[in-house]
Amino acid sequence: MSETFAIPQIKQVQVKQAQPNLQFLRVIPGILLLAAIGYAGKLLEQNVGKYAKSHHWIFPNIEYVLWAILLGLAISNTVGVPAIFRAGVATYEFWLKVGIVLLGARFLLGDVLKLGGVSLALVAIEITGAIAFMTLLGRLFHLKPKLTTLLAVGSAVCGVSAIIATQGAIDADEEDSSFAIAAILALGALALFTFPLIGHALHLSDHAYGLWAGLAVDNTAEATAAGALYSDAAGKLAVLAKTTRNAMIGFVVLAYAIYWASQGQAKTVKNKVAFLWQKFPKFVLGFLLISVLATYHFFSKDQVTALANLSRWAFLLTFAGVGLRTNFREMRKQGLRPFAVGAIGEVVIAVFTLGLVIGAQKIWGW
Amino acid sequence: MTTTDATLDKKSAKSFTAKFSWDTWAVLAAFIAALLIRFGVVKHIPW
Repeated sequence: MSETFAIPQIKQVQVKQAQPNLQFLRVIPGILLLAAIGYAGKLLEQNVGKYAKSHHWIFPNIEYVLWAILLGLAISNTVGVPAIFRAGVATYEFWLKVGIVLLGARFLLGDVLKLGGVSLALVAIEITGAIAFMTLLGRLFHLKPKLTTLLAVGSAVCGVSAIIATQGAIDADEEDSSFAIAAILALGALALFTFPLIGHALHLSDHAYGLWAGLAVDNTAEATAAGALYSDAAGKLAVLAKTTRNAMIGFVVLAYAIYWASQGQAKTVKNKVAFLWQKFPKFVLGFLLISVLATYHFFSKDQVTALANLSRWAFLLTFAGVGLRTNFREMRKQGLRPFAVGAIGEVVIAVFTLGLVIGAQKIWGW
Repeated sequence: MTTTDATLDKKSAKSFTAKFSWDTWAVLAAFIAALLIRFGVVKHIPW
């Protein structure tokens, strides 16, 4: 009955996701599960602390973000996600994007341009460094060249979406993309627990930490969660930095598509502008447009608060989904070498981006 | 309706929805929600 939520199954669901149809009823059980877990996380945040305090226990204040992820992880790694819920659970990416677009209301255009400009400069350095380093590591570990490309794109730009986009563009094997996705997801799950600890240990400001999480954590859902685990302000910054990174996806995938086509191992890209538009994440435009509307007072103060709250609810479903789709047993089955390359690469990228952020912090005095 | 007609109907329905990615649907959903809030259809979202 309760089969595990394996990586290849995730991919199948994502392929089906690309063709939304009127049979939306099949996603309802999974969405209800996401909502139930997310809301349970919220209730636990409110009540566990109170209960511990009333019994004079020393218990850390655990945010709803972590509760939702932990509850999802507990289900996924014990009883598994039953088939009836899977289509709905896979919609967590949809809720993530809805949440990001609505979050745009909390950014004034000037802030987006200022912070986005800083992010863009750091993202350009991060992408160049990450791709160069991951390519070198792939060669050292004798990984297949296309698997190395997928890992490089996944860790440099934006995790699973970038890997799926690149797989199609460079005609990579399904198996290679499964390996790369498994490595990126496993490392993203680790980042959720390690990044906030490191941030607190180094006394990073919300601004610096948010930027770091957005630059170094690969998957958008995990980057958003890692930011929100630190603070609300850090969560906002993490989303902005990650969105800037996501905006680069088309250019990186196009560059790789041209390279592999020149090697005679992928189809030639005929219309580069159409290719870029097809790969460009549209939610980035939605985020910017809402931000423009908020800047020109299209929304009142109360309405901005309502939009921000709606964004939080959307993220709540996302965080539950992050836990539910992470199955460590299935990830282990994908093999050690891609994971080792990903892990070494991620550690180096995390240290490198931390250095970049601390440097930028000193220059701009956040 | 012949099998071919049914297949064509299915294909045209699929091609209409497949024109938009989940990404685009998410943007549309967010904007509909934003407009409902802006024009007072939804007045308050609790947290």
